Amino acid sequence: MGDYSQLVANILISAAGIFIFAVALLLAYRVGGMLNFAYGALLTCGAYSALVLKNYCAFPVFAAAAVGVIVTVGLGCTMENYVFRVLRRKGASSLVLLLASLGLYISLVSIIAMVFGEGSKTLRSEMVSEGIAVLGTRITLPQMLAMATSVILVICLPLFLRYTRIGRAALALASDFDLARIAGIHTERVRLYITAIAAGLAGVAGVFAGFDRNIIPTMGMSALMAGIVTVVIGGGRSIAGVALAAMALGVLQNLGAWAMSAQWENTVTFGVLLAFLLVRPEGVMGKRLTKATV
Amino acid sequence: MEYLVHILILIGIYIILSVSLDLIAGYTGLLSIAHAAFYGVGAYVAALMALKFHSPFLVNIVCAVVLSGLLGALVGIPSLRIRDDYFVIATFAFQVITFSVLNNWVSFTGGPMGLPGIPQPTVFGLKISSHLGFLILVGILCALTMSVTQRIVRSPFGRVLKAIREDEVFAQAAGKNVAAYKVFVFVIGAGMAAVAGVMYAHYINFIDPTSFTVMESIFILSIVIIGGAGSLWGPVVGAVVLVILPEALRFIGLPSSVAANLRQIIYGGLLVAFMMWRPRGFLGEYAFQGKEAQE
Repeated sequence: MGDYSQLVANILISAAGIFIFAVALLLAYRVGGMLNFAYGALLTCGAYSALVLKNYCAFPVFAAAAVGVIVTVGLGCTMENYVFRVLRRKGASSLVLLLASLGLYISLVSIIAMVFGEGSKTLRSEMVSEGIAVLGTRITLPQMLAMATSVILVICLPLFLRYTRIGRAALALASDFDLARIAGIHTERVRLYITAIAAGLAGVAGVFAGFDRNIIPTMGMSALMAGIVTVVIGGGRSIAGVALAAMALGVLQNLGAWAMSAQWENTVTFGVLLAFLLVRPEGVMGKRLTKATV
Repeated sequence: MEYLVHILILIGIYIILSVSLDLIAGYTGLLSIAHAAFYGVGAYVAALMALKFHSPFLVNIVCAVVLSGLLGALVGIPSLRIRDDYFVIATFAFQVITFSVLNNWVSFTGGPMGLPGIPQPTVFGLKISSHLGFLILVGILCALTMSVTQRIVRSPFGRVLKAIREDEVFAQAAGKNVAAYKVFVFVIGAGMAAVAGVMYAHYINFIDPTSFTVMESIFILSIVIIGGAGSLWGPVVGAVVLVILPEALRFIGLPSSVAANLRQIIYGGLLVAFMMWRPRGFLGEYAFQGKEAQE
């Protein structure tokens, strides 16, 4: 019995971590019009910033995490303002934006690797890693916070999008860009706000990953892999879709580790992704995309 | 002098890789980050055959090309159903899966430990044991690759590829079997990449999966983009620049770990810079225009 409840807990914890980052990617995709690999770098930045603040500036852990997220938001908005906005103004295609984001990912992660080295670090401390016993399972405080954050996100973000001015503007932008411009929506400002939120989420995801797993320069790539799969399978349109997909991925990853060696996790994950792309490219909750509309 | 030969061999291998990716991404407009998978499959097939069957070098190359071509066809097929962004993700998936298989199927591929002791190739009875001999072999294959590519892009087949890149719906409406062309170009590109893989395996005499990761795919793509997509000599320029860069850094006396990261920083930065100010690279013809993202 205890074994199963730990499994369920692990699934929820995995799903939570994946979900937070995937939402960031979804926001960037729908509002930014691009698949943004740079968010992997943002996640990594969040983790390392918190690390630096905790270890070298003697910040208490939660303050380090919070400021780390703020740093990440700053970085995300800088990238949006100086790279992506400029590119969009030049009429860049989504492929060009993707390539630029790839370039940003590579440079930023390499800067981090150069400064911090390839070795793994962690935000964990003895107190935190022991975990608290809950219903026959062990869950650490950051893990609980991650799950709480996900729940809050899945409830509040759709509400935010539907009932606030900025949220509605973002939805309009994502739905029909030109019409949104015509209606007088200040698209660049809306994009910046949403980028701030998304970057913040990426930073949060990075901090949680920093507590849960090891902090290494390549952590962003693993997050990107899980995140991209989640967004695509979830349909690339709604937060609910992403949530469902994150749960599915959480199940897959944890059952997979049970049933077979953990190394095949990526193969299974991406195999599922390929299957979706071939059979149902619009994902679980998406809309069918046509190749060309006249 | 030995060092110079080494650099030239690497440049040669990357020329083959980037020219083949250019066919797929630059001429046909199918952005792919799966190229390291084809490269890796070629290397592993040749290495495994040489180590387990001791078969002749030319047989190994042929098998590597064929198997990699098959993988290429597999990768090409999704391109018929999914567009741009999602197709890149599909190629990403193929790349990750291929790497996983190479890394985890330990009994067959040696997993992370790799395959050591790959013998030197013997071509037409001549054993290639010196680096200079190897350079000549690579040079010949390079020239071959480029001339084949040139013939392809200047032929009616090549024109259809460009048509697919510029306006796929129009090409289809003009009666071209777009599906077949897409799959075919992937097969050809993958086959060429396999040749580079075979060269790599026999040159370093040791291969492991870490040479064939997503990052390697992205690196090859960067060479194509920075050098110039959709041109014959663009990838060559790109290969020369991006291979010499880290080596030049090492000459300034930087420790090699710093140099490795600095190289990544530079080529990541170059990628962003080129996308912002000259998306078609040095000599390119294609700037990945595609559908305009909404401004």
